[in-house]
Amino acid sequence: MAVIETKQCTVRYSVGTPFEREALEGVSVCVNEGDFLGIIGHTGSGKSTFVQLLNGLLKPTEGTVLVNGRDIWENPKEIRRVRFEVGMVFQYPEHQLFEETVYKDIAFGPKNQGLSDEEVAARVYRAAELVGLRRELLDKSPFELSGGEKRRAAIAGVMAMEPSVLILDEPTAGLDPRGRESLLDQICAYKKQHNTTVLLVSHSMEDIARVADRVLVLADGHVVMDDTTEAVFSRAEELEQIGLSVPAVTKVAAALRKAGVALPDSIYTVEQAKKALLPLLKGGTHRAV
Amino acid sequence: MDMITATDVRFRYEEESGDATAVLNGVSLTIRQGEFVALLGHNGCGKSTFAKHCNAMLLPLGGQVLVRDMDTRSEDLVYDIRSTVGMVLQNPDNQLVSTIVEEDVAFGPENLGVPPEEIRARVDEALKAVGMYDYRKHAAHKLSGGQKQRVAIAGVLAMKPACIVLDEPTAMLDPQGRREVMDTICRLNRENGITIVLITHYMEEAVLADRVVVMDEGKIVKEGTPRQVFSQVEELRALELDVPQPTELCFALRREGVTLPDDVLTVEECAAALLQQLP
Repeated sequence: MAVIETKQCTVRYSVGTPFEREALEGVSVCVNEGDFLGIIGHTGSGKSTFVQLLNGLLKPTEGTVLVNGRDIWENPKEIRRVRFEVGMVFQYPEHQLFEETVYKDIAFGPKNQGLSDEEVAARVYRAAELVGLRRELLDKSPFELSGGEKRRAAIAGVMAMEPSVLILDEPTAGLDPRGRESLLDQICAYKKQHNTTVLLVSHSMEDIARVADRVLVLADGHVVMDDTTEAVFSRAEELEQIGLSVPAVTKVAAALRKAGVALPDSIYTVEQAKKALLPLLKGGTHRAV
Repeated sequence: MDMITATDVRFRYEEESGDATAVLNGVSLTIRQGEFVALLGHNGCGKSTFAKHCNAMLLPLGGQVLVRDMDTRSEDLVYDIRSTVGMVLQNPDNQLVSTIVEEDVAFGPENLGVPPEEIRARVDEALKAVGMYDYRKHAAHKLSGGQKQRVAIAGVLAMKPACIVLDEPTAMLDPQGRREVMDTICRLNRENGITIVLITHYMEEAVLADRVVVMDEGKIVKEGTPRQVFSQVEELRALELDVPQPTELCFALRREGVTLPDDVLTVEECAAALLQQLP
């Protein structure tokens, strides 16, 4: 079932001024329940504009946005409800921490949803545990946490609202390799637990390759690819042309194929490369004739 | 000649509560003139704190930092030290001060009291060096991330530094922006002889350096050429770091009994090594 659907959405900024500019043009995308959708595109391609449409932070200049089948702008007074359904983690979400304690910060969202104190508490603990924040940190000021912990606290604040769609804009930027890996694992775990639909915007092709099962590619305000991760990363040349890239291991596989090695064009993680190469390296017939 | 000599540098941040966490626990490192050094380590290992010691933004509580033999603790040398070592940070939006590109680049030399004709020359030269000369009249806030970051680098270049310290300059950029910035950094190092200290979480960027230095808990724990450092896959993982994907692939295959070199770094090397093994 489609959780989110955009129909011919166009967004223009500064309409009626000399600075008028089209950020998105005629974007129609359908996100199904349980999808893990990766969104990639160069700076200025419209990724952030696109995700802001989905929870009503931006109103399309033309077109409609449907969440669970309902036009979110049908009744603009109820737009707040959409924000509980579609949770958004912005870039550098740690800059938005503001409460006295980590607990209160994570509780802010669910409290605004009008949940009981017990339910709020249960959600705060669940979310904190999921992102790997130790209990004793909950009583601290968010400003005493390390950078990585702050990021986790901010993400927990959105997860605690238990939205049916979770959108994350560059959640791993600036984290070290192990931090990236564990945060991505936690997002996957959350998705599994709550059967959430997840949209992940990232500049890291490796991150997208690891977690997404579908990838949306934006360029200059248009959708240029919308396909399985495998299919998108097999179009390396087109991706390079629009300022993107493919994981290094995909490039290795492409170089080998070019030299005549029979490898599938669906290799985008180290694990897949290893699996495909081992039988070839350990004997048998290997070269395409 | 040595650009930066750090000897047993110790530093801690005092907190309001009076607690202090040690961030640098005796860092000794010499960066030679013209060298390109990549500084790696997980979040919180002290690498940014160390970077801020390189141009007297922070002063050591113990030990000593010399920039071309100038002690960073001598207040009257701060001016010379900062014009020797320039700094570029992660978020380009926090570093641009003017609305027009060339005005932004002129900000540094203006503050150094450089005469106007000289400023003009320096700004043009700096913008050409980063490939942004054609954008000199553009609005800075309308550039892409990679372009903004190159303008930030030009702003530092216009002060004619001998050394540039870059703290995760590509963390917020798309793949194209990352390539632009890394190409610029490499060119400034090779063609203009500028010493580079690059802090990064991207292992494939560290591969481009002459030397890789790994920090953990406020100390230097590993040092060597990219080849020497990245061949130690397990040790790096224990330090919560990674290796480039081609290195990781060869490592994974070696564990399965395939004979492959342990010092593969790039896509090309990896493909070549694999082709040799494929019958």
